[in-house]
Amino acid sequence: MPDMPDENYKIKTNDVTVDYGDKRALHGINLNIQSNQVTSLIGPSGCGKSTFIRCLNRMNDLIMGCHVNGSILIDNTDINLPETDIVELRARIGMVFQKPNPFPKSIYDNVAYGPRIHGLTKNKDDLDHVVTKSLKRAGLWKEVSDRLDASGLSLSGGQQQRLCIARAIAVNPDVLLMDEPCSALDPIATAVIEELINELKERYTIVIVTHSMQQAARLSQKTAYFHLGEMIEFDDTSTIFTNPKHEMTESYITGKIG
Amino acid sequence: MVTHINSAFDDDIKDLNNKIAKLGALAETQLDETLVALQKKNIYKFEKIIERDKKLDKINDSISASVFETLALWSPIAYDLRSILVADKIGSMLERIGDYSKNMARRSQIIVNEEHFETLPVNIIGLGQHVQNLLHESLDAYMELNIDEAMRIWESDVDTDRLYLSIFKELLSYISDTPDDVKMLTHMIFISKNLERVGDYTTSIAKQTYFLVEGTVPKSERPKASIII
Ligand SMILES: Nc1ncnc2c1ncn2[C@@H]1O[C@H](COP(=O)(O)OP(=O)(O)OP(=O)(O)O)[C@@H](O)[C@H]1O
Ligand SMILES: [Mg+2]
Repeated sequence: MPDMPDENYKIKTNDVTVDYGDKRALHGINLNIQSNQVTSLIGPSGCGKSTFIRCLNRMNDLIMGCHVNGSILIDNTDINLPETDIVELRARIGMVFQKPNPFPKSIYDNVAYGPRIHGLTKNKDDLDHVVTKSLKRAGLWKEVSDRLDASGLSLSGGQQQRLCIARAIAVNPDVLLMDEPCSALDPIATAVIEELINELKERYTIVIVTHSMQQAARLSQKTAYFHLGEMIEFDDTSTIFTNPKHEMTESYITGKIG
Repeated sequence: MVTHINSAFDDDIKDLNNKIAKLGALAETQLDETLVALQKKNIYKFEKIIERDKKLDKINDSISASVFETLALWSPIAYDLRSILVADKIGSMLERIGDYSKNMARRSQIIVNEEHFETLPVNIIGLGQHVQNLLHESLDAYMELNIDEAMRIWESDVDTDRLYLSIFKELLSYISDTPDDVKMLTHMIFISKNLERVGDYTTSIAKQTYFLVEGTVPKSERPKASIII
């Protein structure tokens, strides 16, 4: 790893361990994430990518029996301190989930929800503008502009995922966590989201979980490889995909059995 | 051997490697037959060698096509990507080595046809055999992924340079002594130079082998003999 002055890391995790009941899902993860970059998390199914990404905005709080230990600093503040305002935290650290989860509300209200509760818009025009802009950036506008009142649940899977992306970016988060955001999207919608991520990284810090090696390679500057709850390798994406140090990483990304 | 879960990729790589092996064997044959025919003044052999060069071109074209297709269909990364890029480069190098043999066959044909040509006045055959060994060893090192051997070949380029240089100097002095033979002697200079170039390619094959295995190019500076006199 290139040496970085500490303050350039947006997110610092130190010895993060997660247990679901008596089953350990993450074993002491130390991963520092830079701002204005895309960091990819890759690894086999069940290795703990979603568990890790959920730690970063305390989504694991909602899971019964889930215990997170170790420290997670965002902007040098421990997010697990009791005084943390979770609503404020989740506005700052937006998330797109592996499974699309639109609210059972209209398309418009799904996107308007965040700006409304956080009081981000002054009036209806302002809110209309944010909703339109977010839907456009998520590449969904053309498909839904004539039915903003329809339920979010009436959309196809891939459209729902883009709706969730529009909802996440509508509040202008600092950090965007995306758990396989494109797994249900066609190549064009995927390209639109990738272009959006590229553009967002100018201002945001983005962490993305993906099963597409090519997507990790195209999008991210840093890549972390997870295996069975451990972080095996973390390096520049170009190094991971041309010459990984660890044999387990190489086997995984090239689809080999040892 | 670590294999891919999707074995169709391994099959494609195997096909590619088989083509390289075939091209390598042909490149070795072309070089060998040229040198033997020159040594034995076997005038009838050269046309056959020149004609056979088309076969090498064809195999190399087929390697390029496979490389292109494999890259497009599999989007390989890491070692997989290197193995395909290296196969492509080595294929082109073997094809170029074939071209040099063809060129040497043409020049040898002219030399052997000269009325007063008896034997080679300089040890071109010795240089040729040295380069032949290098070619054989570099292809072996590539097929066996033997980087120690590859490094040894990469560093031995200086020997080829020295051999070439001494032949070159000798031929220059013959030219000034017997200006009537200038045409024949000049062809011999070109043949020696071609052999030296083939030697260069064998060190490139060795370097590609190192890159294939290690993912980086060799760091150390290699020894060089000064070619300019
Ligand atoms: N709510 C939960 N309760 C109990 N165990 C869980 C829970 N969520 C995840 N796990 C376990 O924790 C481990 C890591 O799961 P996680 O969902 O983080 O994997 P992942 O890397 O995101 O996998 P995938 O690529 O399939 O999404 C798995 O063994 C999983 O069974
Ligand atoms: Mg997951």
